[in-house]
Amino acid sequence: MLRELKFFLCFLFCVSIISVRADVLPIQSFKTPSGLEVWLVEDNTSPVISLVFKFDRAKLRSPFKPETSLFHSAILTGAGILSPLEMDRFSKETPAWASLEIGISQTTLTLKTTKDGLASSLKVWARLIGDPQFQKADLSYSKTRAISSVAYYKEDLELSSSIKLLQTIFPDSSFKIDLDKTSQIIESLTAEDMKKETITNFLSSKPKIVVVGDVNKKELIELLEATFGALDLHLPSSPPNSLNPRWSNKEILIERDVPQSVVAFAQPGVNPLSKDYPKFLLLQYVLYQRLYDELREKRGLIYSIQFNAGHYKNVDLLQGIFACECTNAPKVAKFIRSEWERLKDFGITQTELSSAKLAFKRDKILTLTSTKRVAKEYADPLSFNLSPDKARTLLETAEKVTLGEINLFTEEVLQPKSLTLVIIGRSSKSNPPKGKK
Amino acid sequence: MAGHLYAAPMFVYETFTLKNGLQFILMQNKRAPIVSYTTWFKVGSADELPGKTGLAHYLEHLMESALPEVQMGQFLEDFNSSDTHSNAFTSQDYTYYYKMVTTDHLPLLMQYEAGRMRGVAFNKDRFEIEKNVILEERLMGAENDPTGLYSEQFNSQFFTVHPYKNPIIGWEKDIRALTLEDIKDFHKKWYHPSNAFIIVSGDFDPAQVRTWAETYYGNIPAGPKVERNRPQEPSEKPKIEPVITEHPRAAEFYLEQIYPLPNLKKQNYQDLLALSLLSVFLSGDFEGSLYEVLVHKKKLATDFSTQCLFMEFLDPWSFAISVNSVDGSKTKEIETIINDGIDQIAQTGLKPEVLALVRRYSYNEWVMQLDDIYKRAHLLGAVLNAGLTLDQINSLFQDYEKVTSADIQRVIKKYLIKEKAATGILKKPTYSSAPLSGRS
Repeated sequence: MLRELKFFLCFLFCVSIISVRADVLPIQSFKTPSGLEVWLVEDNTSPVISLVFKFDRAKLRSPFKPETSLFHSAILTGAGILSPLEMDRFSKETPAWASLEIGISQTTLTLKTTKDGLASSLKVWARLIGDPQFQKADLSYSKTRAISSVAYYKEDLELSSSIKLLQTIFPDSSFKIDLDKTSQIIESLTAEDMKKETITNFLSSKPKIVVVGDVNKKELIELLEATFGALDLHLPSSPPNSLNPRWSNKEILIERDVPQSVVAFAQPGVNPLSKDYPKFLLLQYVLYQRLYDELREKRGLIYSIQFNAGHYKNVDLLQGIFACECTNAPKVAKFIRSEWERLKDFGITQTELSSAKLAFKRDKILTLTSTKRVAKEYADPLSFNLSPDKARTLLETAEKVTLGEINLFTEEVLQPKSLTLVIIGRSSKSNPPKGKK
Repeated sequence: MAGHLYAAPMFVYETFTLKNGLQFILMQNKRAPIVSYTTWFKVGSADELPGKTGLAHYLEHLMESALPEVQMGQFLEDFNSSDTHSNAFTSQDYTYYYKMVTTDHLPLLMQYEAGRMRGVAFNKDRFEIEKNVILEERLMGAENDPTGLYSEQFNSQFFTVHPYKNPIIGWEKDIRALTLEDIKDFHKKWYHPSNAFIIVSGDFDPAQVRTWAETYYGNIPAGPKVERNRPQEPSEKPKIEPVITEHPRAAEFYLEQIYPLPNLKKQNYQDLLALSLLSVFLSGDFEGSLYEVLVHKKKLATDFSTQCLFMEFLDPWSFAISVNSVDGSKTKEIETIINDGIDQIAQTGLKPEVLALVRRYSYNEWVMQLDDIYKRAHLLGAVLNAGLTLDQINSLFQDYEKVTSADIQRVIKKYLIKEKAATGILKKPTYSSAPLSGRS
């Protein structure tokens, strides 16, 4: 159950902070004969091998669609190739731990296995992706799992606020989700629907792959060619749909009788291929630190705040989320808006810029604690078509950003009029929470 | 084959202890030039006195930003705030502080952390602000979280006298009443080299770490010897009424059967190992397991899990059986299946090949987790704080091999006794159900 819940939490914030230190861990970048793009970091310090596969989806749409929820569950429960029980056994015995994140524009499969389990992990997963047998699958079991997951995210305030935020920014039908009807729709889905989902989520592009662990290039190419290199792709004849965001400074309150409000907010972000992207990365650090210092360290109004960037083909988002006591939510929301204005008018300080640069550099290396963490760190730059060298240049570019440059950029990129907020909780007009203060 | 596999130690380490009692455990991994540095104090929320709940966690919050009492220079303070990743965690039995640095910064970090172990300066303003932050954290993790609220309510009734009955974060009333003096007294009592150990995991030179440890930590006074005098549960715990938590945002019907366990670590360790393997079997995808029956075959549950809590806690806790179902309407049927399933194992035991697979699954789980240099330190530190020794952990799988099917049959009859089981339920107010009565 938690696995599914985490999946939804993960794809909500498709974190895409580019973070490669090509000089720290040597990356072998190559294409297999069938054209799979691979980054390999050979590492024999552990028996574990981690792999991240990035697939571009054929359609850009909300990841909370009922068909996506069922597809996620159906794949992880064996897709008719293995029974749900066999799939569980395969995962634990091999071992071959898998997680699947289906986002707005990409599907990410993460595998964690051992040297001995690598061949069978790749073989089974290439079959699940390339030749699922949904007509033979126990879809009723997958439906129960999917509906159970939906029950959890319906009650999860962070997810609910983020779903509403996405719906507000992308008002078209592909983001319209009625969570109350989701279970009913899941029940009505068929094996044929799942087949279409396979093409949408997996088979519309060649996967880009990062591998970290005790395997050499020759062995890896052989294994990948026999499995993922042989996938029967259904490349779309036209590029995927574009997203049409509608930005405004809306503040939406969803009344719920809870003791603590959750506030999600977003404004336009910057594309990783933009020349301004290094500045955008640095600005994210500054925003996080400033809000953390002002709201938590100085005022004690929040416990934590998360900041992330989402990149979905033609649209980029800068997102944040935090929770605070209901009565404080309007005050905190107002503070964020005023901070946006202040930053636009007065810019950031030299100290903030220096700290951001240091934090940026630090984060690129201190996160490399396991084969899985390394693979995940390197997967985004690869999926953005950056070479290891380009990624390193990005770090160097960030280092050279001056205060004048970032303040010009800050003035341009921060858009108070496009800062959309969704608050779930009790409004100040409602009764105060019981037993509090 | 399995025997050979399990002969390799789980943790490859070297250890040394300074004269002041501070132990260092070093585990190398040269994947990347980074080091995870965790400082563990053998004190947790279960060491708090009545009315002072939340103290250990509050102190942890303040320690994160506390500067050394003796000024160490701006350079080291700047280094600490900008060149490290840091976090901290409080459990019922321990508190630890986590720092991640690049290898070249390790001596600076050790110098700074040693300064903090020597003594820290607490700030009154910070104390007051942090109280609000903690109350926000409490709202998030307990009052606004159905599962968190359920755990609080259940534990408060399951334990009669043991401080495990209190939440780690503390009761709101207690948190509000805590003073800075309370914090200072608690710190003074528990935060000493002789009540701590440090795990260094990652890419470093062990000989250098030894030298730096001596240089920076060697002359810190050991501190007074502290006794952990926690009230212990009676050997015969009274059976409690079912604990039912209703929450409008409970996503599913959640039901637990909790069997209290006596203190088995010292005298009946083999029993704990048998219960632990039984737990892996019941909640695994094995033929005849309760997970298989309830989730896959009968589809009565959306999830099923069991836990033998002995590596997580210093003092005895329980053998826990948990079921998630859509609405709780099949509670009786689920109860019957659980009871019959366990009775069946008590009668017939487990086949040798199944037991071998259970061990293998458990082993794989550890191998996968130990890939991460930080998780490796976290797992080891937590298990040591649970009162197990390094030798016990490293021989865990060899010891598991000695557990027989007969052991598993025996421990079911000995510990999973209906009359002693407590029942907990988390549900939406709209659901109705007959609570479990326990195993017959």
